[in-house]
Amino acid sequence: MIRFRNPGTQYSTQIQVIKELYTALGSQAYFTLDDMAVVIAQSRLMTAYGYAGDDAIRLSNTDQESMNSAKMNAKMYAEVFRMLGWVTPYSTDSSYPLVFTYIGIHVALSTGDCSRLYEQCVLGINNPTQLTDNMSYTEKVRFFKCALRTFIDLGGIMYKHELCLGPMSINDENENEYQSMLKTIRKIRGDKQRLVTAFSDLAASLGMKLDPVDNCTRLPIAFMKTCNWVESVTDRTLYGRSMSCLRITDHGREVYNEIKNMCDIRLEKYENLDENIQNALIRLGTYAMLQRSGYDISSVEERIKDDRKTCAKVIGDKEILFSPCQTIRRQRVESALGIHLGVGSQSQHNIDTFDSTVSEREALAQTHIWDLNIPEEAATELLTDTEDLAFLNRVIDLKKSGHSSAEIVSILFEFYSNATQTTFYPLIATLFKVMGFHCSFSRPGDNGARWDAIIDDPIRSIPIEIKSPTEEQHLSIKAIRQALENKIILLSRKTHTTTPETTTLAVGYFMPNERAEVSRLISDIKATYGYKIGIIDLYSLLSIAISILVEEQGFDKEKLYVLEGMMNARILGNRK
Amino acid sequence: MHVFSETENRRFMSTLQELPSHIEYCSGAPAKAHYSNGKTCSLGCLGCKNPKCMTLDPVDIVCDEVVNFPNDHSLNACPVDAISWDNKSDTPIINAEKCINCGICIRRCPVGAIYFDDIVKVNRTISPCQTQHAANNKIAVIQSQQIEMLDKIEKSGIAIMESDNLFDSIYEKLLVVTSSSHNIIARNLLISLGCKSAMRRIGDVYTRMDAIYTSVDECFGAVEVEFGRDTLDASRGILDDIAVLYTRYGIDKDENMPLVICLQLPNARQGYWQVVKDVKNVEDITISTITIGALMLLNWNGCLLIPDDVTYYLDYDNMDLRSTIAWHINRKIEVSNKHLGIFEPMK
Repeated sequence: MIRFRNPGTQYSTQIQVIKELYTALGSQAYFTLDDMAVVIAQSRLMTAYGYAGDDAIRLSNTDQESMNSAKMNAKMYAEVFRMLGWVTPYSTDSSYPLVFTYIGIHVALSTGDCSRLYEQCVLGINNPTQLTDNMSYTEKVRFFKCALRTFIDLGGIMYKHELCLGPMSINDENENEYQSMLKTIRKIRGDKQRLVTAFSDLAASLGMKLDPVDNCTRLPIAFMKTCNWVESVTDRTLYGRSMSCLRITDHGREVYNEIKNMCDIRLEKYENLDENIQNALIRLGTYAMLQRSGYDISSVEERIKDDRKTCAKVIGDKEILFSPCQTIRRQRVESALGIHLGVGSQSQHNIDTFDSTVSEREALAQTHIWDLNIPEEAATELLTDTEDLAFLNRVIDLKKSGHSSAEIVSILFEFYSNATQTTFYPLIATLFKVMGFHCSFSRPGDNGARWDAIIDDPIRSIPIEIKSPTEEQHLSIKAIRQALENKIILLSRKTHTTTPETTTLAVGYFMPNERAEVSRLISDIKATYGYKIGIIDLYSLLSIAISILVEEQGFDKEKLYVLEGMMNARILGNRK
Repeated sequence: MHVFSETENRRFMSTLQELPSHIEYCSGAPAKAHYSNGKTCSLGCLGCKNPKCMTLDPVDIVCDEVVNFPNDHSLNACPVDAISWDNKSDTPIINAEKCINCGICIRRCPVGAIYFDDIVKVNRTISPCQTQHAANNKIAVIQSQQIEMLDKIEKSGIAIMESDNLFDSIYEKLLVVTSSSHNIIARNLLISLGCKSAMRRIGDVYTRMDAIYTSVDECFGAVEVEFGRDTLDASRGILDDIAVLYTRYGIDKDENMPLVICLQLPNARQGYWQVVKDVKNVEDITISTITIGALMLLNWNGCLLIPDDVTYYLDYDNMDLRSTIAWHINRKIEVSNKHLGIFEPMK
């Protein structure tokens, strides 16, 4: 089965990127992934951590190439553009660096709607080619032509996995193989289980899991939708149950009807021809693509006439379907077209020249560590609710069973891993109460209360945004936004006394995954509005509470009122 | 190396024999061109070399305040790709099934040849006031000069007359349109209403705001677009956007006039209205709120959008968008009270 990779599929962005790349790199002899990454970032077509331009390059620059998002982004476009025949390897012995192809230059310089040339390039995708050595598949197929034919022959509608079982897995020039594929799919239809089994068998035969095989349909479907050949429909007729399927459009049918009788030149056929015929075919194929895309090729009319005569035995009077830039090495294509690409200045961009700011980014995400070393008794007088007492009893039981403080924290942390709002909100309130804060929580679903809990203080009340592990395991940007909103609401509605300088808290099960992003937002909010946002995870809160309950050690409570950023407290050692 | 030029397969192009003094839009029929000698006629599609009905001007998708904004470079004027070029007629063609009747292409046509008559149509009849030529570069230059002058002449009238039924059919489509279209619908409507607007690229999760805009009087602000029910997310988003615009791009919060564009106004009991009021109380930030339907109505009536401290500011104490829009279009809005939550909350 043909393995289509799963790169960026947004047509408008692909066009924007190729245009920017050509403007910036068209005068170079060749270009590298670094060149691409720098140009894409500088033209603001990628961002890293919200920054564009050189800042994006700096922020994504790491020692590990596979972690460099700017470079990986460039690689993704390189793969799509190579498939579409817009860029091609500079030399015959390695995949990189790249040069623009003759067709790629036309796309990049297009001043109008280049969707028709894009369509020709999608039709030009075929296998095998001189540019695709060492592929893990052997199918010989012009996939999109075969797919359109299959749609028509199977009644106009297909389920995506039928693409894998069908046109992605056959040699389409073998009519018997094609008919047998149709027969197989028709046999599968009518019973979803048969489809599931066939798809699983296919994945097993390829040595792949189901998801990667499914992912192989994403790029071809995106191409077909961009070209307006297919559209999504909900269908019950294929498998007796409602499924999201693809239906060929009128335009899809028109395109197939236009190309079905064209002389389809594939690599094998091309390679068996004399050199002068090969050269003529390269010219005919390239000019035909441009002509069908609305380009004025009248200046080469005479050349085309001559070439058609040269190729008469091969193509007769048929129109030609052949995309040399997607099939043949560039040296031959350029020689036949009488052009010489791959000349110009040396590669100019290197990501290494941009100082990495990863350490700066990571520094932002540093967490305050609070020492639990101040003598303190649990504020048991505050523990009056049923939930408080239940928690207290559980801790006492664990202590009696001989568990250390650190073990009690771990056991409780695990115990609450699937807690819902109903359990989690009271738990957080209890933990703050143990620390000596007057804390009350809102009942889940109480839309009148904007915060989930609040530390009620005579001067410095603190609203608390809580995310239970069943809502989100790791705190996110969303919780930070809500903490800011809570602060503004509290200052506006004055239901509790507070000051602008007092923190507003977000409490969750785990600290945020994207710590740098969250930290940056917290610092952005401080710089813009002057408010402090503090983040605490459950493990830290449990550590403080158990430390107070079991070891009568607490922390400097003043620090909570002014907390900004992430806070961590851990019980060290294994004290009993 | 010879690079071929795109012919766009244009066989014919039209030019005007004389420039009209004024173009009057008519709902249900092509616009009327009025001439200084009292003559009127409906002009047919010019077959523009660079059709404005299909393509935005690149300067309109960049806001000078934040030139480094990582914006989507798409110049498609139609936010739902319903307009395409028909090589057979040498005119644009509208796919009625996709078209959401936003009226952007209607307002962008320099001669008012695109009009609404149950569906959006193109007037392909060449009027006696214009001349059709075989396409060539010389004609293209004359045509482009005329279009530049046509941009400056007075335009009046209602391109599409609103009604409950019309909004029903539009909202039926808007409610199911793919989420990737939401921002571009909002951006292109803002541009049609005289603003410059840059929107976040699809898939860019790091650029927080959905878009930014600069109005004709140089008001600047962040835009959050919300087609769903969670409008509170939009007001929270705005606070986040203001912070990011300040720290990354140096836009002071006092210079930010944020705009929430929603499909329907939140219901009266939703927290959004009170939060918008809280933000105004505490931070003195005025969050304007407007619906897609209201933007469309302004567009059909040839208005400009100029948010300021009061015009589109709605909150818990005043959720009435109708009177503001009615004032802009200088007439009563022919849409029922609370209909689809476009001009006041549904509940």
